Amino acid sequence: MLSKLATIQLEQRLSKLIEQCSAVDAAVVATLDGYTCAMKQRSQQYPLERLATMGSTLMSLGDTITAELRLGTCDNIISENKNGIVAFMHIDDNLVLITLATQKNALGMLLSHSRRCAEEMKKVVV
Amino acid sequence: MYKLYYHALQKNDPVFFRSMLQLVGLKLSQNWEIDEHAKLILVDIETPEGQSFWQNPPKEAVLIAYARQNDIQTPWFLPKPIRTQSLIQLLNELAEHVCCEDEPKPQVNKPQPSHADIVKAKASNFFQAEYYLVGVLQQILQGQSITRVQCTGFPPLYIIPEERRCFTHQVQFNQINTAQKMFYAASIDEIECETVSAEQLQQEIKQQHLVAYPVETMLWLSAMCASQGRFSSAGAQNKFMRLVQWPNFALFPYQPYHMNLAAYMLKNIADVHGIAQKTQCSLENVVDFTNACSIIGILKYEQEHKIVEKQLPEARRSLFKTILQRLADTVTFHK
Amino acid sequence: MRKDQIKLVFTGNMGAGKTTAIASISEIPVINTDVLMSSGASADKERTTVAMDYGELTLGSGEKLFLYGTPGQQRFDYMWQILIQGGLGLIILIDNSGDDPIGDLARYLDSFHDFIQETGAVIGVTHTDDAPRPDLQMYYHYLQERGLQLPVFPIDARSRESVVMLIQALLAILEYG
Repeated sequence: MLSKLATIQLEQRLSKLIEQCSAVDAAVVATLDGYTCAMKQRSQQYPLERLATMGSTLMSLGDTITAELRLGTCDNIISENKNGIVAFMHIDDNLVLITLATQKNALGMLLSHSRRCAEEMKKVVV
Repeated sequence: MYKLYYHALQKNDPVFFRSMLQLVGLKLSQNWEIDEHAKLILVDIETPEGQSFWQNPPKEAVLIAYARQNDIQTPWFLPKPIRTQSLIQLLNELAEHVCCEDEPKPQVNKPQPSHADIVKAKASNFFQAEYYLVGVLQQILQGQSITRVQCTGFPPLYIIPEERRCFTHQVQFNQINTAQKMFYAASIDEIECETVSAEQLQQEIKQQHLVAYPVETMLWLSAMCASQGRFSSAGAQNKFMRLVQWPNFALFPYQPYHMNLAAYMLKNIADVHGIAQKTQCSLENVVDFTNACSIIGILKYEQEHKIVEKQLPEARRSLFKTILQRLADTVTFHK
Repeated sequence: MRKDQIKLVFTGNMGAGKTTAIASISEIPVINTDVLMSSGASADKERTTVAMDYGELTLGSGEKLFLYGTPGQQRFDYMWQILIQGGLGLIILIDNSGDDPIGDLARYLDSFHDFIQETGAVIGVTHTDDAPRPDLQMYYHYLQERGLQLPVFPIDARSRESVVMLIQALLAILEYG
């Protein structure tokens, strides 16, 4: 389990992500077994705890698929949808960052900001 | 004649006790006598001598506390002073629940029926469980003594009625051979029963590496093997029946068709002919199965039949068959 | 269900042995999505399934029997609904050494109620050697209260015979029950 300090730092980093990237509407950090560690969203409209659990499922599936196919570790899983995008990526072996954007053309921005955020978070939880 | 004795009774109490016993004699369900070798012993636990006797009773003794109050909450208790009503009640309860006739000697019991009866039962068209191992087991289970069941040429089977367990050599469920089947189908004239002590059994378990099984396993096996496709009575073939619960196939050797019978009989109420027809099982197999289910107490007869028609597409049936065949590839079942 | 998709679904609580049961009959190494547990969960099992377990058995006809295991924890119940689609029937495994095995069973019977009504289910109780209570009669009593006649067998998820027995009973129910 994360320390209280680390949790606060993750929350701060999520706030920064939402501030810096206007495309991001919500972001969650979850353990790989589906527990929420930190979450932020612009308006309280998404069930983020449920998203955390599903994110862990999807990330594990991604890991399983890439391992089966010997494609190396799974970096991200992107779900592009009619009304938005959800990106799932590893922070480290145990944590997953899930970010959500409702702008359809924001994939590049969402991925680059989220990736930077995940890398910085990795340093926090070491 | 039922026997009892007393210990540490004070002053006139022994004489008083004897007189009371004579006085209540006619109101007792059994005849009782005072015998110094009796297993049942009335102990005055309000005396130091009685207390120490109570703490260290002789082996196999059954003690009755004699005191003003049953402070120690023992099941067998006679209040002081002795009154006729409490004495009658106590002795009748003892006669019913505690074996206290002539000292039980470890004895070889030849079961009761005559040779002619047994021959008749074996040749009969009906399966009479009481003439076979299964009946012997049922009888043992009604008692309390640990019993060794022996059949010449076969390893012994030990039954512990209180625990509803038995001990015997390991049974390979998927490899029950002809010799073992002969044992499970043995008739009572081939069987010898002998009571053994817990210590003796413990020793046997250790020396012979015996394995524990629930008694249901042996009841099932012995019913299955002795039944030989015979109805339990003339009326049995027209009776409507159902199962109240699944047989615990984890404990029994079984064939896949036993599963089908169980599934069908849990949903439907039918006679054996109807069951055989709907499950595509031979009548003999259905009868053996229902006899075994009856022995383990999960078969119920009903007044009316109830059939739930189920139409499964042929393709589905054949798919299930293919799956079962694949699963049976490495697990083989033998009756 | 696609015509060539034949699947059996294993569900049950964490530690009941779903992955092990599938592994005991699958002809391919089980593909699983188990992950290390963070300390948020209570059971002392180290890894838990978060998406599914997957195994296969090739039938004589050349078709494949797919074996799916659901995640055990209720949090992942969205996967339950996904995985049962097109399933032949359900195999419920209950860890008898858990805090409330009958309560666990109740949850699975509730969650899969419609699927069980449409198809069928069998119940395998594991770890009965370490935890003999509740005994089988208590399970049957509970099922009777719910008006269900499902079979309950004590099983060892590591034993192929045990798992085969569950499937045989399930197919018997589907065909004759």
